[in-house]
Amino acid sequence: MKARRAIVIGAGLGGMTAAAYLSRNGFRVDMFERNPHPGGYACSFVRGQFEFEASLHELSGVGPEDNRGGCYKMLAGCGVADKVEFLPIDQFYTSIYPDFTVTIPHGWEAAEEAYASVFPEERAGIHRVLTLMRKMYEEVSLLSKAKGPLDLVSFPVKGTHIMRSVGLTAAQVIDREFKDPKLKALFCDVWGYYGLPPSRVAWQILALGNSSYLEHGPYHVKGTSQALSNAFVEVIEENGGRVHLRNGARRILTDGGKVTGIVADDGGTYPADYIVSNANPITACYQLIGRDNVPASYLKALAEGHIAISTFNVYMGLDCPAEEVGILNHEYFINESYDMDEHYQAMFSTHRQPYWVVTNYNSSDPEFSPPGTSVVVITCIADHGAWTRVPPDRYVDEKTRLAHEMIEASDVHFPGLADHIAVLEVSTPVTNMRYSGNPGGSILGFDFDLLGSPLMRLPNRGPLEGLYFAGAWVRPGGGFETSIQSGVFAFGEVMKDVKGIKGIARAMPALG
Amino acid sequence: MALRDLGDSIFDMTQIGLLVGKKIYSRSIADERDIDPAAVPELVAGLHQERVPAVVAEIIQETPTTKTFRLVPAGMPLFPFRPGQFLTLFLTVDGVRTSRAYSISSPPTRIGSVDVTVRGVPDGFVSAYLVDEVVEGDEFEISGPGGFFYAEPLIDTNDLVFLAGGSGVTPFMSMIRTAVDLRSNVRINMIYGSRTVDDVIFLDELTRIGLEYENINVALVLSEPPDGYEGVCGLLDAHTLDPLIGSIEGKTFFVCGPQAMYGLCDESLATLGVPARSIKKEAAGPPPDITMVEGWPREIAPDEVFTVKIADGRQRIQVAAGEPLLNSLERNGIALDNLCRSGECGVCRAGLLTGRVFMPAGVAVCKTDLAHGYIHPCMSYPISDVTIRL
Ligand SMILES: Cc1cc2nc3c(=O)[nH]c(=O)nc-3n(C[C@H](O)[C@H](O)[C@H](O)COP(=O)(O)OP(=O)(O)OC[C@H]3O[C@@H](n4cnc5c(N)ncnc54)[C@H](O)[C@@H]3O)c2cc1C
Ligand SMILES: Cc1cc2nc3c(=O)[nH]c(=O)nc-3n(C[C@H](O)[C@H](O)[C@H](O)COP(=O)(O)OP(=O)(O)OC[C@H]3O[C@@H](n4cnc5c(N)ncnc54)[C@H](O)[C@@H]3O)c2cc1C
Ligand code: FES
Repeated sequence: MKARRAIVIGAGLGGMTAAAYLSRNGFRVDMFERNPHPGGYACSFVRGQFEFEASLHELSGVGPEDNRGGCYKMLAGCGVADKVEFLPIDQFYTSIYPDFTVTIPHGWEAAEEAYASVFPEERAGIHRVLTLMRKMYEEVSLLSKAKGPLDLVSFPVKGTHIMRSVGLTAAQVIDREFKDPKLKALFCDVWGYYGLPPSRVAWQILALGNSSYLEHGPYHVKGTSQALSNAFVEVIEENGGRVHLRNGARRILTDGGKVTGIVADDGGTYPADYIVSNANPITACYQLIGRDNVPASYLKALAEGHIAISTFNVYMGLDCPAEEVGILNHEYFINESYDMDEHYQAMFSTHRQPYWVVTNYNSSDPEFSPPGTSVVVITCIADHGAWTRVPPDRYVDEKTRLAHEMIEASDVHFPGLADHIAVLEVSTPVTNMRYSGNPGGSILGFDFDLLGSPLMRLPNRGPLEGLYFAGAWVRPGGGFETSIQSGVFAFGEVMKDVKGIKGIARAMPALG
Repeated sequence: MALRDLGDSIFDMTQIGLLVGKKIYSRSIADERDIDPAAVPELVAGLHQERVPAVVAEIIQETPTTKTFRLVPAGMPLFPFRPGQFLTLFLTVDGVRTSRAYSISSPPTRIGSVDVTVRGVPDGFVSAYLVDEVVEGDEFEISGPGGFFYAEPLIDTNDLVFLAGGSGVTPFMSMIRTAVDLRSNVRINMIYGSRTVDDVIFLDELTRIGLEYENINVALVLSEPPDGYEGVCGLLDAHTLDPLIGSIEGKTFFVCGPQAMYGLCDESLATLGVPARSIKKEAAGPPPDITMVEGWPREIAPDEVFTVKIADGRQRIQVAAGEPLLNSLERNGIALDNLCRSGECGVCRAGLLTGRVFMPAGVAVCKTDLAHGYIHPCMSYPISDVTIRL
């Protein structure tokens, strides 16, 4: 049989996952990436004696050998898992508030104890919410283990908790179960991972996201997320695929509502019947395909989506171990109040932020940086608007000022931090835009509001025959585990078109 | 048969419920979250330009061997840059498409043009061409600004010591001119080593600034002084530097110059007790003689010839061990994108599939790239036959 040709545009997590699965299932894959290295956001960069992780704080869905999660299974299903080393992170997160600091471990019971230790009078509510989340998570796993149409038809009966969570924001559930606003804040403190405060984020996202961390524990990758991306490339190449770096897609060619290939940045034309775009759908439709060739209904759907958060990062190489300045854990969420909506609103300016994360990469990997040093990163949520409005000649001053303010603010909690910075790099939404091509430098594609929740998101099937999307912008959404899953979904859609529904079942990873 | 298309199946079943939900749910998110979909490239280009055409508007003879080229981007505003950064000039010399990095010597406070100041290196492929052949009105492609050799107010002190050697004075020129233009009160002590008086670039301007501004001091050090010269003589060793620097307390050191100077300055600053974190060095580019660099396999002569095979292509080329792979590729008409040509930026990253190369210490290849056999060809020297994937 002649191998079918597939082109993947963009070597982000979604694109690489689709490319790995396609190349293992009989496709001749060509993956085109603009940057000199693969990974999109999943990459690292070197400054002096330090190597920095560009994005990954905590990888969800990995789990220990006896309790593997969905992310691990998807990586194992395409041969990537064996090529990377996963490093467990001891705790889920540490929250710092004006009047208490508490560390939330992973594991359902341990987490419940930790929440209840601060709010003993609300133990019953805490137990109810965690139980609900756990049930929802189990139902999703159940669904992915479904054996046939009957299981699916009966799902609304078996999957009652998931079904009932549809259309709810996190706040609607949390407000019902918790009284103290401080508990609400603590319980939802990692909302930044999902890009919206509880009042706006789909409950499914917060519940299932946190469940994945609680059930399997957070992980990091030995050698940074670039090691994960390099492993993907190795798998794709081992299976006969070609990875074209420094060579993006300039245009997607179409003929009568069907894609036929691409024109690459090198000027070459590459034909293909199947194109998976990891380049975001907005750029793909407006720049690569041309709006005139895209159905108006699809453009409307694109216009309806809201672009999710970007980030402001201060990457720091310290000339001392992180413990020396009191940074002991991996992930600290620092809050200056309990008002999450106010914290969210603050990201629309370039001013000092009241909600930020301090990450210590040496905690899970003592060899992360040279002996006696450490790598610590400050992350704030940030909207692109404020940053793109800064005049170019003010840009450096503006990012230097905010970096200074965030270092000073962090120094209050970790005295000495500011005096130990040997190497420093600052990134803004504009930096994210530049390296990923994502509108607004969004790290999660469209917002995870109710309309952007996994079910309501744009599907993996694109608006033209032979066009599919993988990546944060489409189902199920942004983040490492989810973007990887989007690649699996896109692959599934291709297989459906090639072999029908039965073909896909054989090729898909067992996620349950 | 297991059916595991999770998202899809939930979707199909819940669509009805969601349609209802969609109606009830009204959006509350501010309009500012919206973006013009077509605007992304423009928004980024305002700050980060990859390549722009530029015209040589003016050429200034600085010394017998050195010229300043004033470049004006054609048809677009000048990119912002930080004093100390370099840009890369892309050009064709003798039919070979290549590039070189040059520090910007003008300050960002100047509107509309940037200067690079180039010293003709004996046998230099590009520098000799620039200094001898280029005339006003010629056009090049230039990169946006690159590199990390700038004062970072967040971690550097306000008391700077510049150690410059030869054409390495250029980034400092941008920094000093900026300090003057902005009337900044940062303290600058520049110690500038040259061979002869004739070699000193920007002599008049530096002398004037040194006299006029209290916070800026310029000390010349000549290694081949004329008879009766009364200034400081010698190399930038600890003996010379100690009295010129005085106390090292609270000072940040910047070093830029020819290869040989880095070794010397490392040694002298260590002798004076300067901690490594207070020293910044500009990327150096390929050394004049790679076989003198630590770790080079002694048994291999620089003119030994090896075969380089390009994976997935038909090309096979013969190259000399002593030349960076990137240069050899270019000489053979094989294009590979690049920027710093110092191993620092990763733009030229390529896969080494078979064979071995020598990469000097300090080339910024990340750990997983090392493990997976990726190299930066601008600072990689073949020491066997090799196959690379570009
Ligand atoms: C600072 C930061 C921290 C984060 N922390 C976490 C975390 O802790 N946990 C977590 O789960 N997630 C985290 N994320 C989110 C996560 O990294 C992203 O959601 C995910 O990597 C997105 O993957 P993607 O498949 O959408 O591709 P992207 O990473 O968006 O990559 C898209 C790729 O396509 C390429 N491309 C675009 N256009 C073209 C074209 N025309 N031709 C060729 N190539 C093209 C781009 O160059 C890019 O390589 C973080 C992100 C950031 C920035
Ligand atoms: C970040 C950066 C900034 C730079 N800024 C400037 C600048 O402002 N002004 C400037 O004149 N040059 C600068 N250079 C050096 C410049 O990029 C070229 O290397 C230089 O012009 C020689 O190029 P060439 O093609 O003439 O020599 P090549 O043909 O590449 O080399 C010829 C011979 O000279 C040696 N050589 C290369 N560079 C030098 C050097 N600088 N000194 C002594 N020997 C050398 C080579 O190893 C070789 O043996 C900078 C380099 C870097 C990496
Ligand atoms: S061009 Fe910068 S690393 Fe090679």
